[in-house]
Amino acid sequence: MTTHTFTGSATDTMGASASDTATINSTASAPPRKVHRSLMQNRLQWGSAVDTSLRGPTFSDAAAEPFLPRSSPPDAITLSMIFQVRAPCRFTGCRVYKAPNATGAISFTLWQSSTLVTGPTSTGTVLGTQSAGTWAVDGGGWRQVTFASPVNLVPGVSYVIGFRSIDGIFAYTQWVWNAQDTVVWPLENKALFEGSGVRSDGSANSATGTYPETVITFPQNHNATNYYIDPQVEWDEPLPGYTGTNTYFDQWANLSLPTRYGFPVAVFLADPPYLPAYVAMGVQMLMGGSPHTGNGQEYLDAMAAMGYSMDWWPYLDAGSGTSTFNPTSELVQLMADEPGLAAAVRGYLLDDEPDLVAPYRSPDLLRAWVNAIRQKDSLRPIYLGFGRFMTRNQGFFGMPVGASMQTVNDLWRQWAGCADVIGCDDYSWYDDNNSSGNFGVWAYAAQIGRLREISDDSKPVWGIVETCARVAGAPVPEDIRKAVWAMLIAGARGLILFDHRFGNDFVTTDFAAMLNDPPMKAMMTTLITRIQSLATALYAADLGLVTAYTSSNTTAGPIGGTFGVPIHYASRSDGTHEYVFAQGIRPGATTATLTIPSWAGLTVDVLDESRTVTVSGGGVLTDTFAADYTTHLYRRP
Amino acid sequence: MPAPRIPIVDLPEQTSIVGTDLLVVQNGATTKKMLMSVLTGTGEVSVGPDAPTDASIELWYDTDEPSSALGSISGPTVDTGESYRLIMFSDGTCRAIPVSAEPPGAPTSLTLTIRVNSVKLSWTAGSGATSYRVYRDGVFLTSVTTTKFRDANVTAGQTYTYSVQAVSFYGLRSASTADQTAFVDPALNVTPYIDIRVWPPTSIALGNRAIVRVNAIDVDGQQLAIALGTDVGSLIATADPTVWYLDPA
Repeated sequence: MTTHTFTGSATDTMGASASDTATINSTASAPPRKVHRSLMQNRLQWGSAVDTSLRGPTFSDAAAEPFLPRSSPPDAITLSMIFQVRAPCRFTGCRVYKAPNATGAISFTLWQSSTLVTGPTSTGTVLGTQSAGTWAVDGGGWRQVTFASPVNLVPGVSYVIGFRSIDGIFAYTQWVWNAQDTVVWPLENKALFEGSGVRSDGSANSATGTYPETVITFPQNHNATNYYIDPQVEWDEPLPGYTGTNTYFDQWANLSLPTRYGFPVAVFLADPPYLPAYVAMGVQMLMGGSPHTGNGQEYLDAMAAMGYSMDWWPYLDAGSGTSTFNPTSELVQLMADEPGLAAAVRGYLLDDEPDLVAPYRSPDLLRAWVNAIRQKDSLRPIYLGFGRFMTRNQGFFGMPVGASMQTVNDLWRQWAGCADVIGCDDYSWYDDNNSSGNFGVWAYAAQIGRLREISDDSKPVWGIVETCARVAGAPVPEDIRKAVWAMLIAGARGLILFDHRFGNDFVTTDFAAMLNDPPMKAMMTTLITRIQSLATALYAADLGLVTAYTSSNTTAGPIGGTFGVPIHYASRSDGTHEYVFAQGIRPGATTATLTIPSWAGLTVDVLDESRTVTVSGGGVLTDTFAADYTTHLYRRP
Repeated sequence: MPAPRIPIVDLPEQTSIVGTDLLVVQNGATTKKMLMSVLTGTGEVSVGPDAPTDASIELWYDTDEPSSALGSISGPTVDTGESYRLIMFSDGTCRAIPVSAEPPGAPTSLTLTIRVNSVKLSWTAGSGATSYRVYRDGVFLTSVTTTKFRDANVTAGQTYTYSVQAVSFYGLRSASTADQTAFVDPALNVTPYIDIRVWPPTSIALGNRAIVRVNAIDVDGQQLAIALGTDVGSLIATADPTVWYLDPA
């Protein structure tokens, strides 16, 4: 064991200086943290959406046809997809959707393409192969194929991962991949003529499959653009990750979240007169509001009048989007004059939606702002909120000319790197850019998933939800309750309420919508109480108690019909009880089983439902999720 | 025969208008202008009972270039039957102030809180004041609407004298507070606060890195220069000037 001692100093502009030391031990070698990623992970984890071109794979056009042999007698065919990586990583395997009646010995191959764009003139070098065993007729579904030996991948090279279907039966769809590359960093699929599918068939197929060189263009029956192959990679990340608990905030001297907050619940940019009403319903923090501009004095007066019972993450930028960012000095002196204010200011709001303004505020600009804050006050963490397009992995609004999804994803990652806590203003119940209607609860979980993805699970993600009806009758309080649970189960470690009702894109007609909406206010007050009662568990790292699940609603299968109802879940402990939080994450009813081996034979409480559920001796908890996005909170006695 | 033009640039602050200007009432809704009276030396005018209730007053030249306005009267809606004193300010604005209006009470108890790079002023409100004018060394510094102000443009080692004047809704000013003097003593400089923290807090594996974070603040609001070193391993600088990564190998 080696002890590392750090000595640091801070010197002001007049030469006064102070120093401090700290130590940490390093011990015998242990593997760095591994970060895992797959191209379809968010789409599959949070359920897919109606509009596949942007938001996820549809399974709606997968009728019986793709499950039939391609010809009679059947011909073998090799199905694959082409992808690249944006940083060195290791290919570990893939998921593949097995067609129900696909049979025979299945082998997967990873090739390196001789050209960046695979085509008839390209050739492939085999980098690895892995048997997926022998398939038989069954219900079909996703299969995991883990390569015995991971393969190192590097940027600038095209890779092809595929399998040989002996009987020519395979699952496909014409959509999933958009006309442009999709990036789930570091993976990116290569959109070749609106798809990523590559195939090889005919007599040339060898036993392990022939390098696929036939680019699949849309639309082509049987060929399609997607064969439901989901490449998986991992890389070593030496920096610590964030999996939960408040210890993360111990990095800052002014924040003691466990005692101060329980579970952080904030309201975004509420006007000063309304602050006491939010506090009365359990909201602990104000996000935004500047002490220096506009009605800054009103905020300061309101905070003082409340005895600083509400914490504040003030917004320091004047909104100019310029580099003239230096209001921290005044706030620091205000805090020096007023200890109550100093205790209440728990962090800073760096910026709001830098990716959703034109022109975008560059990561370099935000880093300059961070520097300006830190050089005056580094006792407090910094929060940054993203715009909605980040959730959907789309959008070039305000971005540089020629930006690609690679560009945008790289920017999102850089912005995430500027802050200590991140969130995203994605009000998914109503989106005027979505011509097909509202998104739904699944998008709130996806919001958290994407934030965790772009930050590589290195920092807390706070979920944002609108607590108002943005159009007539939608969302209603119950919708918002489900959305909040979707975010919590997906790993949100804080909650920010957006309580402005919009008249249109640019006009806010009600700055305290929830306060003027008794049903919404009552629901949220009750929900905050419930969240705080579970605060320790909601903040804890996931226990991984659930080893598998099934859902009876396989209307989609996930292939076939419409959507089906996947279940997403989290398992946590508060030190006294274990909990499993589960939710149907697509519209529809279903009966689900959750395999929880350590709960075998137990009768568990279902919170807020005045009932219990008995887990089978085999550790299977069976329950009904009777309505859209039904949520159950199971507690081990 | 046109009346002589009034040289407004020469008007001192808070000087009543005298002369032969025409006064008009403008109906805000229709921009219709109605001749009210001719000022003949007092600078006061009575608004007739038939004036629109939302009228405002404008001061006009009586020249051969009609439509050359001196400026709009800011302030309250004109009350019919009230007498107004017209005031042209040196910045070119003019106001109509009821003759009955009184200046605000003077602010009191001006207190200075001196830091090495700022002087904070706070005072007790004057009755009827809607804003305050802050003077430093007899020179107007700024207007504020609260009863405090921080002068951050000071130099250590210098002495400054401050006073505050209340201003009413009609722009009338009170007497000034008593002067208060501040010596910005360099010895007031407060030593910065620093607290180094490591995350994870206790130990890491050789293959991992720790985040070393310098928590620092200067209560005077000065910018801080941060430095960090370690005896074993190497530190990797980041884009954040207060954050380093420890590579223990």
